[in-house]
Amino acid sequence: MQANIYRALNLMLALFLLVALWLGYWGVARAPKLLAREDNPRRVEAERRVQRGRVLDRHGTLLAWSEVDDDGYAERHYAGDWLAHAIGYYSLRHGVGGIEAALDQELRGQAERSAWEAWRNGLLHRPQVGQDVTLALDAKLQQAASQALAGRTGAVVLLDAQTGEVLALVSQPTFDPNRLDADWEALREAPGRPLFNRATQGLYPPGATFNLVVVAAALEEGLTTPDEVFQDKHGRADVGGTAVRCANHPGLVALDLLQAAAYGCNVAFARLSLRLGSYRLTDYAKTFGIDRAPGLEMPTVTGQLAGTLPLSSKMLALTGSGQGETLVSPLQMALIAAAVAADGQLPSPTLLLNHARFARPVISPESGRLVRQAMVLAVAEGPARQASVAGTTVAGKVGTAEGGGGLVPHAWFVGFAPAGPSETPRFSIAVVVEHGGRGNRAAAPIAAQLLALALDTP
Amino acid sequence: MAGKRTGQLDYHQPPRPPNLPAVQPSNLEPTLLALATGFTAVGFILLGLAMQGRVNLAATWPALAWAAGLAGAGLALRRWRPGHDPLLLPAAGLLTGMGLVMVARLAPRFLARQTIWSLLGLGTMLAAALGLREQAGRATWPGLRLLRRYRYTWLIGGLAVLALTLAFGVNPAGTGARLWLGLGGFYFQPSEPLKLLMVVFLASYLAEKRPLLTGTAYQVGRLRLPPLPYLGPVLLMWGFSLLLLIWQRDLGAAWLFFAVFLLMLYVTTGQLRYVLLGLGLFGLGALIGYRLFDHVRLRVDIWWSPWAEASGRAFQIVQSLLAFAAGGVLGQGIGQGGPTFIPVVHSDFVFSAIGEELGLLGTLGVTALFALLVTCAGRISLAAQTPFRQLLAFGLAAMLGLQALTIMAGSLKLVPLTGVTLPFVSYGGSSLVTSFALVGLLFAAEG
Repeated sequence: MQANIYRALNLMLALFLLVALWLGYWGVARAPKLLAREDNPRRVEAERRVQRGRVLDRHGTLLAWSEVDDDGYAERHYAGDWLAHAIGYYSLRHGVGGIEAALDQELRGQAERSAWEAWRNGLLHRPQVGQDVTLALDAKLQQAASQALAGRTGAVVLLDAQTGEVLALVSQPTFDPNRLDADWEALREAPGRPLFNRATQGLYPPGATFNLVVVAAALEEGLTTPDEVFQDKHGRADVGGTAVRCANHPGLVALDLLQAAAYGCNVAFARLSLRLGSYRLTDYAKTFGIDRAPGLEMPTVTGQLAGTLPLSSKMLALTGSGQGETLVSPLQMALIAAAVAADGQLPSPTLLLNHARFARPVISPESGRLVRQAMVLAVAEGPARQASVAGTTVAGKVGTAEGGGGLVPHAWFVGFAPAGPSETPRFSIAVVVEHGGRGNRAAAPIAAQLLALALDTP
Repeated sequence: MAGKRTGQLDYHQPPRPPNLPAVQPSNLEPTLLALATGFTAVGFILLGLAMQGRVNLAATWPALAWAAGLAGAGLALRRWRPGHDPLLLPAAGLLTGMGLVMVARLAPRFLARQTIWSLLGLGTMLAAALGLREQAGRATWPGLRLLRRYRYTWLIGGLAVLALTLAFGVNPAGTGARLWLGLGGFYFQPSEPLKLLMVVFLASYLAEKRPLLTGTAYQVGRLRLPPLPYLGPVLLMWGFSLLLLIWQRDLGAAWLFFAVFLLMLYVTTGQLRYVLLGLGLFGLGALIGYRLFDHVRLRVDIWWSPWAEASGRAFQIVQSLLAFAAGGVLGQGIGQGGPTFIPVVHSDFVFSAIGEELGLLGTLGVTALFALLVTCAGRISLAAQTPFRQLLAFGLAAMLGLQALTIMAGSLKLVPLTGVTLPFVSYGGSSLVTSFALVGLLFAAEG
């Protein structure tokens, strides 16, 4: 019997050993895979305890911050609905978006932490504290832009014309990131698509604002000079079998190039477009970055160019007046304005302060100066008069872009300031009001208000 | 038991320098008991720090009560049972202390109850250890023979209580298997003490019929069988286990009863084929159970493929595995993990909770403690003087070891999960008292 007892006891001890091995299997060998499972409630639990860093604007104003309650759970707060599209959102249920997503590593505090530190903090159950992030955004301008556009559908992009820093980025209608979890379903269903960022992802026909590209291209290619005079008696012409009209004809019989550009005289632009031809026109649109998504810290959209080349004369004339197949985003137009303002250097946009700066020469400084003169003229005495700001020189271009379908056209304004002959432009802006009507009525006043406020800031 | 007991434990002392403090056999048990109570007290203090952020001495009263109980029990054993195994009580005491900490962590409202039950368990252990001495009180006191002589009375009494449960059983939780008898707010699970009664009965029965069981009486074909009356218990136990399974839906108890019986039968006869025959019968029963009963099928199905239903039927077992994974090697610390994500964690899954909060070190410690208990019980069995004592101690070792293995392997998805408690650690009065009674019987079996 002794031997039998020995055998039975050894069997049980072997089974204990098996349990010990299995403990090691689940607790160590398979642990990483198990813990990464979606249904691990500890992941949400840990996420709720992460104290994300604050997001500050360029002057140190709090834009987003986390508050920790007595149980150690952090809640994300935002300064208001006016910065939703500039900063994004953070939600346990619906994920992260915008800057919150782009700078997630820094904000969570994982970017500069060694494995040893992470292990030690986990062992001691120290809350994960993120780093603060300072944005190039100016809270005052952002809020003003959001209010200026409130109640309408559209977007505003205000850039530092020299550095490409985004000072305000507004898309209306907007949402309150503080109430995202509660409002999510309603926001998804809302007809105005408040979750959609029109400033970076909305595509619109550029209308007469595209004239900037055409003039710059024609000057660069030597196809016109500032002295060229366009005879345009009636404000209409026949191009490729279709009638081209000048929307804002000044009532002059003969216009020089700058006047034609300032007034957005489509007869002149149809001629310039035909001289350029579809390939060169498309190439310049590409040079100005319409065929690429601007490299911002949040998702942006690629503009759209005519699909099949060459274009017919009629399509070429339409394209030159911004009514062809070309579609651009407000951010792209603000960058084009900045390129004109910065003597032909197209900056790379950024939401971050003191970010490494890139600028790409797109046109010569001489061409840039001429386009700038035309834009100053447009604000001084042309159709963009509503964009003028007392005490400073504003350069601008309005556009009234047919969205098709017989709806009210989209109103555009792009421009920059200050634009005096000896001044260095500081701010460039693009405003689009969806179905807002004429650019000079709907978009230009908003730009004027914001440029005045921006210029007021030291 | 007259004369020198040759099988008595021999603590061989190597010669050592006289000025070094040595753990002598005489102070080994007190030292270990002090360590066990110290561990419990530190556990309660850490729990207070983790949950309330401060040292809450008032909340450590269960640790103090438990320390006092263990000290009293240790002194009583020392006084009336000199030469008892010095490892059994500290190991059981440490496991119970860990259980108290885990109940305080996982289900604080049951803490007072668990403490009382633990002390009652100690009392039961002392009653068994001291009351079943041959010399207790009078010279005519039968001692351990009390169990042997009235084995049918014990068994029938136990079965009668079980029958009462079949008829009037309740479940304190409201739903689930009705395995409890309720009286005045206290609940009692008759199948728990019945485990011990069965071991006592089998030890007595097998010790008596041993010569007959090992002899060959007749042959059926190539299979040599013992006389039919002695084959009876095999079939009887099989039927009894099936009854438990069918009527009470108590998968765990059915498995334990039958497995312990098979091990005891093997130890008695040395015939592996009886065990194989028994396992075959058990497999048949399990197959029938799988076909007939939803609760058996559910247990087996979620054991075989839990991942597809991780948020449904297999939620509990998947959460259990996640707890082990979250614990890693060092554990999250007492009160700092998330074991309460596991439903009914304080009774069936306390091992997983230890895995999350104390880590691999904690669970390996618990495993080692159970292995130690089994080894101690096995040593008592090997050293025992009579076949009855030998079989009794072995049966108790098998019962304790298999129960611990069943729930540990179950919460690790090594075997299908059955609702048995982790002895000493899980919340539950009947389980605690029974586990301590088992230790008491082991002391009694020492002679």
